[in-house]
Amino acid sequence: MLFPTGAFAVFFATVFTLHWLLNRWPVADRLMLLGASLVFYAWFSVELCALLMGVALWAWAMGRWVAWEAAAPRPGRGPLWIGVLGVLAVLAYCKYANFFLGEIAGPLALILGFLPPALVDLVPIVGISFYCFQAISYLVDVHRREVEAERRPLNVMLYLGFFPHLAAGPIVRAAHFLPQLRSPPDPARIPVAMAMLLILGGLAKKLLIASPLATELVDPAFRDPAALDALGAALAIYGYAAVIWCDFSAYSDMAIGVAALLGYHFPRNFDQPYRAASLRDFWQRWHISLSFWFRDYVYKPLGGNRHAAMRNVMIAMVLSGLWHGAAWNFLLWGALHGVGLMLERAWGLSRSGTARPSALGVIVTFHLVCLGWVLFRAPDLAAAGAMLAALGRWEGSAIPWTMAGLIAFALALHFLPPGWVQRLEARLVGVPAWALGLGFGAGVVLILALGPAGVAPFIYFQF
Amino acid sequence: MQQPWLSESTTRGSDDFSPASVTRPAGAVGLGLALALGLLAMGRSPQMLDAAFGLEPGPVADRLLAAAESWDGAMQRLGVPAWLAAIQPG
Repeated sequence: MLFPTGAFAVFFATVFTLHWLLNRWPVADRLMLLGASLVFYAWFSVELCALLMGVALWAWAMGRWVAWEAAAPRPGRGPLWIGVLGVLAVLAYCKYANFFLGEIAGPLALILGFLPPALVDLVPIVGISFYCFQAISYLVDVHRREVEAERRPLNVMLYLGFFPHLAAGPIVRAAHFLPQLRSPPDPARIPVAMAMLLILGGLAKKLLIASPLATELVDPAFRDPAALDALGAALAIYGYAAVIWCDFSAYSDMAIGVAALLGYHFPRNFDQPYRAASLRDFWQRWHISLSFWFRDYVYKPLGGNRHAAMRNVMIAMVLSGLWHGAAWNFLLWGALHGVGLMLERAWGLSRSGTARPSALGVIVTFHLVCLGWVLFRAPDLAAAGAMLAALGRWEGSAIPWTMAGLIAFALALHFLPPGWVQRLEARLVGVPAWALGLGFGAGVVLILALGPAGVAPFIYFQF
Repeated sequence: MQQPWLSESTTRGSDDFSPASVTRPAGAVGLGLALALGLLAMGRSPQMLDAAFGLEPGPVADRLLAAAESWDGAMQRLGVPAWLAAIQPG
């Protein structure tokens, strides 16, 4: 189920009503939310709901064992490793089986004379890595005693499967979300104005900027980059920078807003990332929940800053690239950021206090990130190479002014002064909820009328 | 409390929400969302009719289709779909 659809509007209205009616009966409320989350996911795939619940039960059971071990006089890490490896096995199978099966399918078919039925394509599983990363977060946080192991599986199942962040994050830490499930949210204080602003802003970014730019400029350009000249390639690359920010931050904003209307908090996932004056700064602003996940569960356990920091940065970034998919372009994308971060560290550009935001730093960082986006968006390395080669070919093609204007608008929106949404919210202090609702409804209708007829899936569903 | 809009929250730092966030009780928010849903139903009546036509035939679907047709007819008479079509680009 996609957020910007009528089906979701009806679904959410039902869940909102039931959730606040059941506020006095927390177990019934959480059961309802879990059921609703399964209905939400069943829109993508009914069969895979069982897989998600299986992973949640595994995480819950292993969490109990991890907690028991952590309380021992000489705690070991065996249960933690078994729990994490179990989750990683599911993730690896779901994300990488197709790649490896594809690699061995040809030779195996030659040997056997037929393709074994088990080697058919797996359906891409929406949101599986966000789900598994949160399961790992739960196990590690229990091991570190940052969160108590849940006695009953319901809270773990709801933490992992809660529908606002189920399909594309943000990745919410167990230590942040589980305490919210242990006491019912306050029905007297719902942050309605900011929630509605986030949902409206997300809808506008997705439908009015990301969708038309993707379908009319970026997708055709990356399908045939050899046909482009420098202007076309530059517009496609800048266009993709706008598309991926508008698409992904839109989903995060809507997820945060939807959860807030139910009284739950997800942390901010994007903070004007193209304002970053260094790559380190960029990763503290872009997909913050994933950056912090890699920092806390990969970089720090490897030794962090204390031991072989350069190596640890590189490993974390390459793994981050591979997390997006088993393909050379994702690996190179991660490596590019890893090398950039290592060079910043070596030159002292990323030390706090020395990396002063400067226009030059912002421009250089933005273009390094754009270079990375070419690898990220291109279907393969050859297409990425063709796109970069097109930057050196000048044929004087006409400027597509509508698309150029849309890119400029997206970037202008991005570079609005920090905190402008909060200032807008502050103007709504005295507005009654019914008027906020009318404004919100009118805004949604207007955005849907101005946007394209259909809604394309969000980019990060595939990861 | 992890929710930053609650004054007793332990969560601090850069976020969309803060103790200064505008909050309202669930009943009032529910009323606001019901009004928003009403506006959405007004503005999307042709799409609702399309969706009703796409349902599997059956007694429930027939009733939904009849309701969607009469709702869309009422909105057409008010001129809502025509007004929204007029502001669409292209």
